[in-house]
Amino acid sequence: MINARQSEYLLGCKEKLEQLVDILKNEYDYVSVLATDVSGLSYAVNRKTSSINEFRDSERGFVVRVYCNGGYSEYSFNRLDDVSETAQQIITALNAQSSVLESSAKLKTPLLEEEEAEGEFAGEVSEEFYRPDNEKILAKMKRLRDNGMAREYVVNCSVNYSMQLVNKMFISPSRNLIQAWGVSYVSCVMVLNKDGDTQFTNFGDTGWQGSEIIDKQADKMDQAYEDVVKMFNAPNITPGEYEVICTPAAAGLIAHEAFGHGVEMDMFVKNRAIAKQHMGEKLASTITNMYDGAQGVRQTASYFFDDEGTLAQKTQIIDKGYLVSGICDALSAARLGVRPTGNGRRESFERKVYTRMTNTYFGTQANSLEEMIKSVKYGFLVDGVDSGMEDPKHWGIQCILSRAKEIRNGRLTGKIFTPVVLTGYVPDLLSNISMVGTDIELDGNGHCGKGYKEWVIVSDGGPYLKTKVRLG
Amino acid sequence: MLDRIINILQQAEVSDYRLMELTTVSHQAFFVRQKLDQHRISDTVHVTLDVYMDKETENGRFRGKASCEVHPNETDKQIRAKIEKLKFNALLAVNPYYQLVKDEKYREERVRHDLYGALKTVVDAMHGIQDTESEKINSYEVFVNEYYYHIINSQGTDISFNTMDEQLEVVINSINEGHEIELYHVIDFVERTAEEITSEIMEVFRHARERNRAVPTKKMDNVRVLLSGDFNDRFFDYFLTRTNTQAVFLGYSSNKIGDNCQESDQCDKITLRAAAHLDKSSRNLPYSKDGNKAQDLTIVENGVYQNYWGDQITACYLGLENVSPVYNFIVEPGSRFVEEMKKEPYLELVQFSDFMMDPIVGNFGGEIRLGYYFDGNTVVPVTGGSITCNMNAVLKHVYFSKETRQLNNCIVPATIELFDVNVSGEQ
Repeated sequence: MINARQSEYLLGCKEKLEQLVDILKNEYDYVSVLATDVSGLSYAVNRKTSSINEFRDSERGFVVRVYCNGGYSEYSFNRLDDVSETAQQIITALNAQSSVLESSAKLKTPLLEEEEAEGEFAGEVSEEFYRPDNEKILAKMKRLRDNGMAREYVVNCSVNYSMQLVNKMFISPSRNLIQAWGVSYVSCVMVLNKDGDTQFTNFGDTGWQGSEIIDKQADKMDQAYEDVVKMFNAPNITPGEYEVICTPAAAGLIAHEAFGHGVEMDMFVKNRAIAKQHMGEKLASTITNMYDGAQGVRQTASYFFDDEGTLAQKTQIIDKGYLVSGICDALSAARLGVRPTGNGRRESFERKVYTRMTNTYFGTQANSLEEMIKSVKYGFLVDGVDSGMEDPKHWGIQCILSRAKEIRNGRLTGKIFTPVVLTGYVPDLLSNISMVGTDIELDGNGHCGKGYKEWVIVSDGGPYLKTKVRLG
Repeated sequence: MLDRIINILQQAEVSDYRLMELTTVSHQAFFVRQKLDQHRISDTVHVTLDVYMDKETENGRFRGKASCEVHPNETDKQIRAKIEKLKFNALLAVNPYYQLVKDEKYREERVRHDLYGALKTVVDAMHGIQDTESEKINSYEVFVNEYYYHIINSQGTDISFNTMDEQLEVVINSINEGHEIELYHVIDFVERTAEEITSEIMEVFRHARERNRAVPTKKMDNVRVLLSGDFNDRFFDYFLTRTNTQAVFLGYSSNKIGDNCQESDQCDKITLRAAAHLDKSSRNLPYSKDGNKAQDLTIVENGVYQNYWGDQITACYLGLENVSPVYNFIVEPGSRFVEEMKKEPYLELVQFSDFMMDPIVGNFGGEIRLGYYFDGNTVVPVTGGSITCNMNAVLKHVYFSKETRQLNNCIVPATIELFDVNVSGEQ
């Protein structure tokens, strides 16, 4: 492993960006610029084709944030030639838009008071990120694909692998930060057709390592295949409340939807989250701990500073059942009079910052999966994350899972139900957590939206959890 | 920029290339209540380059493709180095040969819209909305965007066109006896008047009010369900996925042209047509990124699949000579008026937390945010609970309303009538 290298492109732009900040600070009370250089390769193989393309979230660009007359505005661009011309273009465009919006009262926001910070940060990555052996990587993927295609009913097996190098630089009069890190993703989808019915299953892995994560998928494929075959003609679950064991993936979806979105503090500014009124209250069982943080774990949403130049941290959201903290971007923190937690993130340099989750997960306890299964008289082990939706206003939660494995008298019966809609009231679901496993597993193959847009890469997970919740 | 890259490509000995330059200007404003949170402008140019390398072997002709973005400040030397890497990667990932779109020509000069004015129109419309005693605007975000596409390939295709779209995301609160709820609503549109925007927001106010006085949905078996929400387009998206060339090629869809998806007499037969242009749609793109022209095309007629649609590569692999993208579609009206559907007991669903449609397996449903239950005597707004259905079963017994409504890029029946649906809810 080596330290990720800082972007030559960003370093080459640094002087110009510092000049830009110098010019703009004559016009505005606050100026900062975030520069991004995200690159990488995505490899794909399916039953008939293969490809190597640029990573889907690659970008190179700049976003300037300014404060004037009590309000913030931003200008995003990706051409940087003449600095004076660029500065004038920004001033002219933002002033024109301010005039158009003149009749709108401004939301009172204090001037950001940034503490001085300077630093160069680099994550450890495999050398492969800089010198990938594409032939070898494709060969590994094809072996996995062929393993999948050789199985009965499989009509397609797609394997996708990506290596992403993220480089960001933040410059303001008080901050000068640069960071580099790398992330890899592997995901597999098997599509099966039996007598005209189609089922599919997906699995994968993410992390800071290189293409060795592809090698680890063969075992997962065996389990995924065993499950998906049982999904043909599987019955729908009879709606009702059940004892439910969640796999780490399902637990992660619950963490994300329950008190992930629910404690994004830009929602506190808008009075859209009920959590604001319940800080310090006991809302989960005493064995429940929950965290979010770009620091603390190494996953796809790990970084050193966020898109507003705030240093990253690990935030404990639930401590022994008590809701103790939210997560916050810098502007929302200024409005709420709290410290930001390093959760200000953008979909890209072209989009606004919102408070966003990073790596969100439940903490561990001492229960084994075997113990949990033995403790269930009638219930289900739920797995296969499809999607989720939260209601931070009322703590409603909806998780769509692909399968529920039946447990009767402390044993898995081998019977599978599909699909599964898990719904409930978040404090009930969390208060019903009665057993928690020993090992955290995180998966970062998902994108999280704010509403139905602003997609950012997040990871979530936890150990196995046992709770009681409504399935339908 | 494109000329510079083409000059380099012409010396690079590539088999083929495709370039797409997308120039985007976006003006954005964000409000909390009616107060300006912040405003933004984004002005960018992105150039995507695909390099194709061909290889003849004893097993036939093969083609590899590799892609990257060429950034505006990159030097000729950097672009040359990128192309060499693309050539190498393309030859590592070769696939059966396919052709690029040949000699397609269409030219529009770049049009600069008054985005400041467009932003002001939407913001003024929103400022004009008065809170009611029980409903108020919590927050909203406005995006007005213009795009200029220029697509060129080495087979003589040279296409350029302008598009524009707008988006309003709004959150509404409703309070009833101290209980506050919120509704989230997104409108994708183009060229709407202030009155049209206001009218749609007032409808969201009405839904918010209804949801706030709703009672929990009861658990019900074999109930007749009427789907009457903004999610109705996603019900019909199922048929688009089933006929998409990529879905067919990858095995996500096993449907073939001529297959009947509704072999039953107890249903309205679906007829779904792609429309190259639909008034007031924000998705009127005349060409695909491959350079294929958007066409009027019958996808499903009387329940029988008629045509595939999709991208150039998978269309070639399926042996199609011409393929069209689909950006807009129209579903023909059904046989029943909504009023007729509502004569007998029903559960009408108008909002889900998130309407889920899995077009591969055919499962759809979600948690109910707002519905109306009619027991034969009275209509009661309900909330909570969920439904889960499967298309294969539903299509055997389904009716569509004669009334239709436009949901941005599609026109679909206003109400879809399903039978024998099990509803998860309060015992």
